[in-house]
Amino acid sequence: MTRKMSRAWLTKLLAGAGGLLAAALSLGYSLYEQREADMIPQVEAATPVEAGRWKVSVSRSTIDAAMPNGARISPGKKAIVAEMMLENISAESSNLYGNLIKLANVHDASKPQYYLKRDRAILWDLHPRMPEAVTAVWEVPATLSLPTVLRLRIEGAIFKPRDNLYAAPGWFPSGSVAEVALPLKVGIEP
Amino acid sequence: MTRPAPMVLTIVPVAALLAALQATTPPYAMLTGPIRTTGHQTETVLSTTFGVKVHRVLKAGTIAYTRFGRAVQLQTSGVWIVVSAELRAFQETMPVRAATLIGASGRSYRQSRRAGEAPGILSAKVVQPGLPTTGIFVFELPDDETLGMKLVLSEQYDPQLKDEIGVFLEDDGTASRDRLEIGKDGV
Amino acid sequence: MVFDRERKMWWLSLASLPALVAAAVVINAWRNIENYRHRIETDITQGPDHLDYAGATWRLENVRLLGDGRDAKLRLPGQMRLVIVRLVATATRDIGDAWGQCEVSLTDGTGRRWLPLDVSLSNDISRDLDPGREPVSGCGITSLKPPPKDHAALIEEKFVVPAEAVPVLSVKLSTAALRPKAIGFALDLN
Repeated sequence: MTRKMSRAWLTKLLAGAGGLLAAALSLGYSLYEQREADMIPQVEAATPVEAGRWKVSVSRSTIDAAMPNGARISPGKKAIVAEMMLENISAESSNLYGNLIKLANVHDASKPQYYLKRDRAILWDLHPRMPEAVTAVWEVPATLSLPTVLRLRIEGAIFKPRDNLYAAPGWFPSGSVAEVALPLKVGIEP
Repeated sequence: MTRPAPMVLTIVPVAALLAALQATTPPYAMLTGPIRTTGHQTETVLSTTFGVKVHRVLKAGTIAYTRFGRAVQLQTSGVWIVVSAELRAFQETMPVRAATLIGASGRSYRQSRRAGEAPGILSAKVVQPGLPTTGIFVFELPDDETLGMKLVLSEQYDPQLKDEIGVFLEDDGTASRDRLEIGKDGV
Repeated sequence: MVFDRERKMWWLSLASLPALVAAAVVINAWRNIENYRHRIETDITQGPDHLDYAGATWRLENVRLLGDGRDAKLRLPGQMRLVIVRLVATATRDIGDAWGQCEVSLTDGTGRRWLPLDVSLSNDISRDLDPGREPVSGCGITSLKPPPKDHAALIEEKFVVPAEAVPVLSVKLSTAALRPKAIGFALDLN
């Protein structure tokens, strides 16, 4: 009887210890992740940053009253424009650069629209090993007060030859890889 | 109570069997991938649903054409590759929207959307059974990718259980011309 | 006693697993087959004049063959011919959305199938052929606002076909809800 009792106790003890260990590991991991997130490397303007699928170097940012292709921006809006060199370092043509750069200190900005400088037109695919000068444009409400220094966060992506659902190859987000701070100048109207 | 020895003896082989099955099963993406046909530029390459005959492969630094009466000139950081070809459909009215060039390094270059409004772009056409149609595909590549290229065509990009035709292009060593005029009747 | 019942339930659950898996596969396959059947036309009622289908009586109003220089003096290059098919449908009941995903196609005896020209190209041709009149809508647009009971709708579709196929063409019409059932009329073009 006592033997059986002690066995039951032992099982309970083990289960409790396991649960505590799991909780501790999970907590430790999330603390670690938080710390990692706080430690996003800061890079200078015009420094090339490799972010998995893309290599990007952002050179400057301005507030503009017109789109890079000459079109007017929507009424009641202004445009945050960032100029950069963008290169596709993956193995195939792609236009999935929409999540590459995020505004870290401007809230509620939608995804940017990209323009190809060479054509002064909307950017479509970027082909591997063919870097191009491009501009990213975020339209924000004209009334929004903007910081004097714009912080852009570059988001990485990781290639998985077999994903977990279909065992198909694909790119998956892997967190921020760098942050670049740029003075936000008011552009001179052309 | 269950004894541990037989339990371990069951679980380990079952796990090994399942792992082996998983490792040797072709992935879903491959099972539902394209139905491939490959051939050479000198021949007409035919699949069940469509066929292609590549005529010429031209290289240029600049391409030029007229759109709505306005002259368009496009430069590139690499080189323009213009492939003229004839498409035919066998069973049903179909477009051939997807065209990709596999370069010398194995990287794949989709056709350039920048030149998407040039005259005679094949991916903008619809191929009718019994009526072969000619036109061009336009790509931009770095110059060193232009040897041993392969043209890959299908109805849409990333076809699933649909025909995909690959054509190995000739390395005819044609020098890149400075400027290529794309007219209404092709190149 | 309790142990026995528990063990019995365990074995029962294990034994029913294969049956449940098989049932899941069958149900899924059956659904896929149903979906596929709504995309193909295999059960075709070929009619000389009037056919009842999807709450209406259908008849072939007229067929034009252009491109050989006889009709409208139009000459198309090589083997290319333009076939314009007009159908009239008189509603015998309230149609609602029964004409959803209406599809019209031309077929020859050998299994080749031609789909209609897209709406904008079709309308451009209509305006070129008859500048004074509004283009007649195709089946897709008509299905959005079908005729009320006892009223008729005129439907026009245009096809580009090779000259050699012209003598053996017949037109087929089907809607998503009724497929694989379809109706067909021989065109009798010479």
